Amino acid sequence: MAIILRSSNDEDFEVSLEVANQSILIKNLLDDIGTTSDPIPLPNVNSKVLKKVIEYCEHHQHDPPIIKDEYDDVPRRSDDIPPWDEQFMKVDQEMLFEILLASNYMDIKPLLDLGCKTVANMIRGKSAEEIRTMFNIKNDFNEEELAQIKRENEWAEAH
Amino acid sequence: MTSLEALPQDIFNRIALALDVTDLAALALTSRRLCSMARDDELWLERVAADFGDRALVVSLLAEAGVDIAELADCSPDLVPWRPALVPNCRGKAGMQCYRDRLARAFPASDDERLARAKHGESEIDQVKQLLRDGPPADDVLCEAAFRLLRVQEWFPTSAECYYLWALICFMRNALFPALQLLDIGQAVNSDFGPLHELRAEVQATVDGVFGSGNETPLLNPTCSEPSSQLTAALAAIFRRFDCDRDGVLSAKELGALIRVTNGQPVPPAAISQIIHTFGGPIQTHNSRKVAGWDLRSLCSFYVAQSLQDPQETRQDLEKFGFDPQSLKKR
Repeated sequence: MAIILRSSNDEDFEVSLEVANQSILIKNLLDDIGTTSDPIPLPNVNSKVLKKVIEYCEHHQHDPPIIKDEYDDVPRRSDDIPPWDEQFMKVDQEMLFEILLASNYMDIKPLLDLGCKTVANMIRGKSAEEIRTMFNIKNDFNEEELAQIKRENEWAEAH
Repeated sequence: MTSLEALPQDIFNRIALALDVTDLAALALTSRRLCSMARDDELWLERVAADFGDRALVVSLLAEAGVDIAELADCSPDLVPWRPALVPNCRGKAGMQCYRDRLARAFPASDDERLARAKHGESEIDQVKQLLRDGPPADDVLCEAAFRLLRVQEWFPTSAECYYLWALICFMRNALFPALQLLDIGQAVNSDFGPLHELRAEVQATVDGVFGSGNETPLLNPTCSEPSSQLTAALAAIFRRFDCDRDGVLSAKELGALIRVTNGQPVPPAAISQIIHTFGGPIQTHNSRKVAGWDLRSLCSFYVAQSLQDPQETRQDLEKFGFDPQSLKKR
């Protein structure tokens, strides 16, 4: 059974039910209305991003289901990314953040976690200036504000 | 254009939870937008829960067991403020302050203080064990015990013993599932703590007996406060059978006949009288007389208590009344 996903710019993508079901958003929808040959509109996801998301879901369609662990809901480690996933995440920043938004919207937790780990790895251990350069962030503080925040940060540095 | 600064807070929080506090400090220095994102209350409270234990979860599991310590925890001067609403004068940084307070407790500045705290914690734990030693104590004592553990846990977030004792309190209140959940957390904190495993085996055996294994029908509802609908139906039928005068109350005589079926022999009147007053008492009948006995509710509460003590005995009783011990249906 093929499912058709329609991107925000009206491009249709045909995927298998197993692939579509990795998105909890779509799974719940199909559970409610039954499998359908009508295209499922994803107004928040453009073709370029949807293609990438489908690539991830196709690669992972035979993964064993994740057992929900309530006490480990959020990944605390990010040094355990498998090689294929790491390669998959080698995209420009715009795409990286688009994948985060799409996986959040489509409710694909493993992909959301992968994206979050990837961004966390880009931030870890960097100074404020290095983070600004990395993510092209404009420093909009004045001297006084910066000094104030530094004071409020002292406890964290001491720890 | 999507960017780090344009992420919704909940996604940012997922990223931030994988970072160290020093990384969050660096993020706060990059721009106004990221500063406010890195100081989000929700983010810091999630970090507190992840690093020092989820106090709100513990309090809510205990509340499920009828041990309500929310107010004690909110008003206690011994505990650091643990919800942003409780943090004074800290606009916009209350969650972070909660984290700093818990950090200071978990890592005391001096060795002397650490030693003093360890001693104090041990004596608190001993006192709690004393309170629980002779079986389920009164409600207010249970609250007191549960609350003391909260004070110990604040200084020793990695103590599995607190979770063990909280689970024991829930088990004493027949809150089987909250007990199991607390044991899960305890094992996540320290899987080597033996008593956790022993208590889990005990709770699990009760759960298996009460809720049945394989095709057995459960004896109780999920909160263990009432019989399951199937057991309720069976008990109602049994009640009707023994309520010979149809007045809605099992008198001493009628109850005696019922117990005779389960025990196989007559029961002395003094014992009947005691059983009547434990689960029933003087009850108004359909024809407006007061009779010492059991109504259907009394019969149900007796079987709830017995099922939690010894689920197999309940199934055996049902069999003696002509029901299938597994399906609880009339044979």
